Amino acid sequence: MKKLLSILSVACLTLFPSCNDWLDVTPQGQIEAEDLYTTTKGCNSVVGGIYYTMSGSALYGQTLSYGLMDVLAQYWDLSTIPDHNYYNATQYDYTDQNVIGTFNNVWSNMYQAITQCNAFIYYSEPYKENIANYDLLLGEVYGLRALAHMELFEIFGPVIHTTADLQKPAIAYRTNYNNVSQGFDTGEVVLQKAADDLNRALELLADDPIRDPEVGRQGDLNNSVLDYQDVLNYRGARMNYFCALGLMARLEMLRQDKTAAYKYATRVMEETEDIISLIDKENIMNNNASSVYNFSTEMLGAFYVNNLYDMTDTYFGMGGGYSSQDKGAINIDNNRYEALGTFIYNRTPDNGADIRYTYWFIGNTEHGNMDFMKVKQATERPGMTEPYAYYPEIPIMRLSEIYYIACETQIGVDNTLALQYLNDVRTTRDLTPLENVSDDETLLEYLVREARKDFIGDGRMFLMYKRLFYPIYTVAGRTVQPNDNIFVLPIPDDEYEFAGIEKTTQN
Amino acid sequence: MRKRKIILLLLIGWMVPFLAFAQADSKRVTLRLQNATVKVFFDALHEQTGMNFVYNNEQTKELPPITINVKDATVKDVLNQVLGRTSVGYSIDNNTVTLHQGENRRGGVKTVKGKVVDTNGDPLPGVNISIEGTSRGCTTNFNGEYTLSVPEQCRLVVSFIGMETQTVAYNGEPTMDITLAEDSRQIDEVVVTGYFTRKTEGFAGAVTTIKKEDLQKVHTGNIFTTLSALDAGFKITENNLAGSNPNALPDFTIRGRGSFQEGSSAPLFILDGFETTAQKVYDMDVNRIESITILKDASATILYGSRAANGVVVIETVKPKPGQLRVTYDFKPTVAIADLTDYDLMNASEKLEYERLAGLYDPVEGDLQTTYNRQQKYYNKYKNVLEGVDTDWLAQPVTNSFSQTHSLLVEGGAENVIYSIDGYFDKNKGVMKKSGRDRYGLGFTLQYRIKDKIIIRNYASYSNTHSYDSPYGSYSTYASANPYERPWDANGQLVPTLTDGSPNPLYEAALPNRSFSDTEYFADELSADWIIGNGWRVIGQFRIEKGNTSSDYYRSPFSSEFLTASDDPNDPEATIYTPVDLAERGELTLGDGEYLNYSGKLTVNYNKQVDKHMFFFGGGAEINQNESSSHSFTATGFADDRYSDPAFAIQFMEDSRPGSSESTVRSIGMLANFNYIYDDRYFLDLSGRYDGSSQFGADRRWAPFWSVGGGWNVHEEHFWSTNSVLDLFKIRASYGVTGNQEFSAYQAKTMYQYQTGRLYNQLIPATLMGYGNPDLKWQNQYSTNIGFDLGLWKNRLSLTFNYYWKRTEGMLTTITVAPSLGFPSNSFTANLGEISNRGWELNLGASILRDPANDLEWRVNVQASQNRNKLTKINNQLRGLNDQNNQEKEIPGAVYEEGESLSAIKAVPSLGIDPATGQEIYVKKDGTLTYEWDAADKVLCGDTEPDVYGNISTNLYWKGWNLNAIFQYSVGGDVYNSTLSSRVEGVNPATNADRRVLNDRWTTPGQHALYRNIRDYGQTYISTRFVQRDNYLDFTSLSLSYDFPKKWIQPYKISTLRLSFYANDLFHLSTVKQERGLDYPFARSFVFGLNFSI
Repeated sequence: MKKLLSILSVACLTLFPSCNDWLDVTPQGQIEAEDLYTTTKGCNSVVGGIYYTMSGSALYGQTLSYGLMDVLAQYWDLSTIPDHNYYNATQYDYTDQNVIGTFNNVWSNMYQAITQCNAFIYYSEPYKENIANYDLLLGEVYGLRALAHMELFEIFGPVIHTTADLQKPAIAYRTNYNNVSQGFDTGEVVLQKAADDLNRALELLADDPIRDPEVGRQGDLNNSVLDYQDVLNYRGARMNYFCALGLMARLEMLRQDKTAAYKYATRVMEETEDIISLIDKENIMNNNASSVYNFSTEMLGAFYVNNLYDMTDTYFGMGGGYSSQDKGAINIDNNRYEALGTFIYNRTPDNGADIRYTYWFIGNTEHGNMDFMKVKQATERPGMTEPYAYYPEIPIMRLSEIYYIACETQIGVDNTLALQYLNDVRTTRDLTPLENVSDDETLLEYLVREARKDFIGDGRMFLMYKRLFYPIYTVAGRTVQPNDNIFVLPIPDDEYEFAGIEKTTQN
Repeated sequence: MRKRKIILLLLIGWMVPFLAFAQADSKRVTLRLQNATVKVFFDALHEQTGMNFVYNNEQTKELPPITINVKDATVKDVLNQVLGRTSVGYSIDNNTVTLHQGENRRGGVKTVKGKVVDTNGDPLPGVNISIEGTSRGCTTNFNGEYTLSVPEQCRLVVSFIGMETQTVAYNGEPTMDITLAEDSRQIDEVVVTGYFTRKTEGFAGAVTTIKKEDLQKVHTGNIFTTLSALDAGFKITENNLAGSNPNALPDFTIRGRGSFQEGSSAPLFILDGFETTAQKVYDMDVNRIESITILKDASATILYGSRAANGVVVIETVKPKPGQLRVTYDFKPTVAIADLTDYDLMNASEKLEYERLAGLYDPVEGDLQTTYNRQQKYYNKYKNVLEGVDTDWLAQPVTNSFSQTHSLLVEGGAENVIYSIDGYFDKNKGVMKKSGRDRYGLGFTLQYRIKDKIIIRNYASYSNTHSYDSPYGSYSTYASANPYERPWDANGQLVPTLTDGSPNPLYEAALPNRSFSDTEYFADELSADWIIGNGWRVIGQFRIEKGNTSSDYYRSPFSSEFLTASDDPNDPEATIYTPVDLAERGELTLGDGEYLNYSGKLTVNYNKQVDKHMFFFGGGAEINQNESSSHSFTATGFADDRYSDPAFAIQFMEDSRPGSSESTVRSIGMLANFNYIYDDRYFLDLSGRYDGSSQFGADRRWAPFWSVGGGWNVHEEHFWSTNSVLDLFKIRASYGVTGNQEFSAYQAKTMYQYQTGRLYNQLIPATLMGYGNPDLKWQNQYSTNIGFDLGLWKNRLSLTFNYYWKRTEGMLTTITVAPSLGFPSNSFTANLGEISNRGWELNLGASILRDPANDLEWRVNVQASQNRNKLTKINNQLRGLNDQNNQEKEIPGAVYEEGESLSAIKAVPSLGIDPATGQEIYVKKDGTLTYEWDAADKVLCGDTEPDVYGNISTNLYWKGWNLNAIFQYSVGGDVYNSTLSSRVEGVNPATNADRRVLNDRWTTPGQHALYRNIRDYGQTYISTRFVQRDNYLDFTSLSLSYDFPKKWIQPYKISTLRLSFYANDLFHLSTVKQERGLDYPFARSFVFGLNFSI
């Protein structure tokens, strides 16, 4: 009997510790987080998942680029189609279900991307030694987390009239992977945390291959299956060193520190030299075969949107399925094309030479409307020399924005220098340099006009109006006076309810 | 069975004092007496041997004075010398010599030794053996052996709990082995928990035991319906949709719902010690069941730990018995007839009249074309009515089905090896044409043992289930088909479309559509039972099961499913049907799956009795792994419906992907049970279980559960001993915590999924599927049970009462979170919320007539239960779900609110139909009246949980004849009458409906009507008008059987023969007039049974 008992107890003691391991089942048909992160391939897929989420149509794939954000920036006149899904958005009616629904999606999708960033930081830590290019991946994740929060702050946060407004609660800056709701941070805290994340990203991305002029935006273009590293390829379509640096400039503008912003802007110009530069207009004008209509050579950072052309085809009624009845489509018919000319591109002193107007909108003989070439896939042509030229990318930040930042920070400081930055961009667009613009207000007006021409399809313009608290000039020639109610998009009701945050009117 | 019995014996073995077998022979005496009196003689013997002598003066009066002179003689010799030639006999039992009046005239006293075994040959310790007509006797020792001094010729009465008492004639042989047969009528003296078999006397739990012979009295063709008829506590949720569909497994609960949302409330099923699924129990051969024990409270279920909270159903199968080859055969042919009495549909002319009243044919002012179209339609239909067309659509898809069940058991074997083969075949046809469930199985048992040392048994089995659905589809299609339509043309051929262009459902049914699924599995159970001795015993069991499932769903390309309906451009009130793309016509879905389960179990028992203290200890550990996986795909585009192999498909279904699922669940459990009984009067029961499961969150992998119970056997008290009226009076109470882990295998894990729909550049992205909560754990249930059992006048009257209170804590709940947490679907699963169930159960049985002389007994049994369910704590984050359910307009959804029942019905209060307008008048929250329905006005207006429910059964036995009837009743529950809301009101006049549409709806101003304007056929919203009190009485089962007397059948070498007849679901009386069996009709079944063994 004693023998039996001792056998049993020995068996129990030896088996018990291994029980816990045995109870840890690895699923076969689904991917368990703990398992996915153990390999380089898995970590790349997870980071790919963040890009996937952010490049979805709910975010940069549509809404935050050529979609609703551009509608709010009044690029399109929808007054002739009052039953269009976004008609109420042009009236800034934020009680409209389409607008609310779309922006609720922006909020929740952006936070899903953030949670995926936090999950990456949380889960990948133990395996970092085994993951190839872990610094690059982690740097990208920090950069993406900063970008996502900055975008949320810009859309849903209060208007920053003065630095005092930075003390208002804005959004929650989430840095932990858990299930605990968090209150809203003030704008100052949000931006400081974003700055911390970006600095962290800059450190981790110090050896970003994009900084090598031999590599640049396109990455290593390695197409070998065996040692293919996603993270080393197409650096321009990922969160990279230059993009993080550029975002620092944008961030300093948001917190109204123009000196710092200027410093970052000039740093970007210096460091990107020979790697990323403003476009070569000849490329567009003389060589249609390899024209980079989306000006991708100017992109500091971009998202790769595989289905961009399908979506834009539908959105702008460019594809075969064009229907004037479609409540979701904005067809660039002659009226709209004319309006773009009259109210955006050809305003005095400019007179139609702008290559953006000329080459971004090209008539399509099939349906008689304009194709929006900036977002439309160029037809395949033989002899395409720059393979990355036609990648369906949505920019996060363009080099031109850096010039505009540099310009804006110099207004009232050194208006000549400011004008020079503006003219730098204008020349590449085949416009004559502006002269004799010396007063701050006029300079700012020209700056805003120029940005407006550039940012169409990028979704940046509305946020620029918001930051400047600037009147919105519509393509019907009207002016919408700036107003907090226009610029602050509604945060989802669920956020207040389930995070237990008191809903206050933000003014 | 055998294992259980052995454990039982171990237990009981300790209850009787171990007797020292003093060797009377070894005591030597030296005596010298002359003419001594009997008293002197015995006193002298007593002095020398210390033995006691029991006699009375009557006995010794006859004895002459004693003269004896012996030296170193044995007591026996002395006694033989003195009593040898007298009529007085004696017997020596240990230290006692008893004198008695003598059968031993011829031979005197003998000592008989022997062994008492059960039918398996296993020793029975603790068996009482007494000499008939005397109070003398002994008890068998641990090895089942006994030694007893007996008169040379006498009869011995051998009795033991749970066994049939036997009287054997003794004729002086030195050894006599006795075999006791099990007494099935006594089986409820023990409780089978699946781990240990415990004597009822010391058991504090609330259980119901159903024996083989009870099961023989009811045969519904569905084991769960049978169980529910036998124990009202096993409650089946009536499924008004599935009716009597043989392929629909009912939902059932024991003592109310302990979880909500997707959480399961189904009990755990244990078959021969191992967990099994409800589906397998449903498909098993009822003849194989020896007993079913329903464990209800914590004290009874505790050993199942994290799986125990919803109750446990323990099923033990019949184990082979040794002896000559024995063949038992059971045959049950069944005829089932659809029960359509709850349907009251309009006939052709009534239907057309209703359409007219509903305004379908009203002329349209200024639109002559439409007016003309309408009139033409009316007269076309009217012509049909005049021609006598009145199609009985309801009768088309149903048939009187004939089913049959065969079951065979062959058993036999000698001392060391016993075997049995069981087989069954069950063809269960449903009342809807071509629907049914075919099952067959085969099993083989082989048992080997070394007497008193070890028993090894192996049971290997194979079983197969083939279930097929009726090609007629949902029965509701036929309930709504118009009686003035002709499904056949003049030649008797089915027409593809009816006059209005809609598809003819009978034509559809004639297409080679099919839907079936197959399940087969092979299982092997191996058990080894080692009797160590000294009260110790170790049992090891191992089971492995491998199964395959497959399913096949095919729709012919000519099916109406592949037609799209659109408005006819020529007549906006008509519909035209156009087929979909060729490549999408016809559909075939094939699925296959497999699973592999294995479990191992080791238990140790120990018994000890010290004086009046009896101890039992049982401990054990078990380990389980269940793996399953399945795959499926759908192909479309078939040219010809004769060729339905996937090879003929044009493509995979558009936008479909192959389906796949996989799950692996592992668990480990350790358990211990300690039981102490003092003097059979007071007992204490302590149990614990420690469970580890892969389903729990990483931080909550191990879960402790425990229970404590105790009781008092009042009938064992000495002050009752003289009172023969009271057989049983046991008061018991228990408290404990058990768990429920009914959730999916990987719910606690953080999962990613690949997004293959859109790549990021050339990268396949992986996104987070949800937040895996590492704190996710089992639901805890704290349950208290207080009850008593009473038996009077030799159980002529028996009463069992239980009161229980269960509190489920940490229910699995989907929690909606702030979107800023960034979880997909903004939710995760956590343990939150509390439910309480309170209730009582009463079981009263009485033998109204009991006349053993005439072999007559009439017994009536009444069961009554009540359960009250309440959400005691709820998180306001469930609001999302509530809002969604609350917005429900047609059928009330569950609205979870603190302090309210889970089964509460909420509806908007209604004042009925306004005689002026025919519209419904609603009462708003503020008391104002309105025609506008608003979900916000809903109030609590009923609860589907009845005040009392249960069953009444009666059983009359007379000389082999047995008549049994079971009624089920329910009082005080509410029901939302969906027939009224969707088939009287809210009905589309294009379809047939309940006759009340025509008779009871408002037509003219000033009319007081029950139902709103006949011309209003918009949706009916949830209103208190449709909440009705549902009191019902079902005649569930009636059976008559006859067991042929042995003397009639023995000449034909038949050992038993029974003929029986069963009738099921004879009537359903209800206060609610509602259509029942919407997708599949209910059925009445009549079964004939033949059972014999040779």
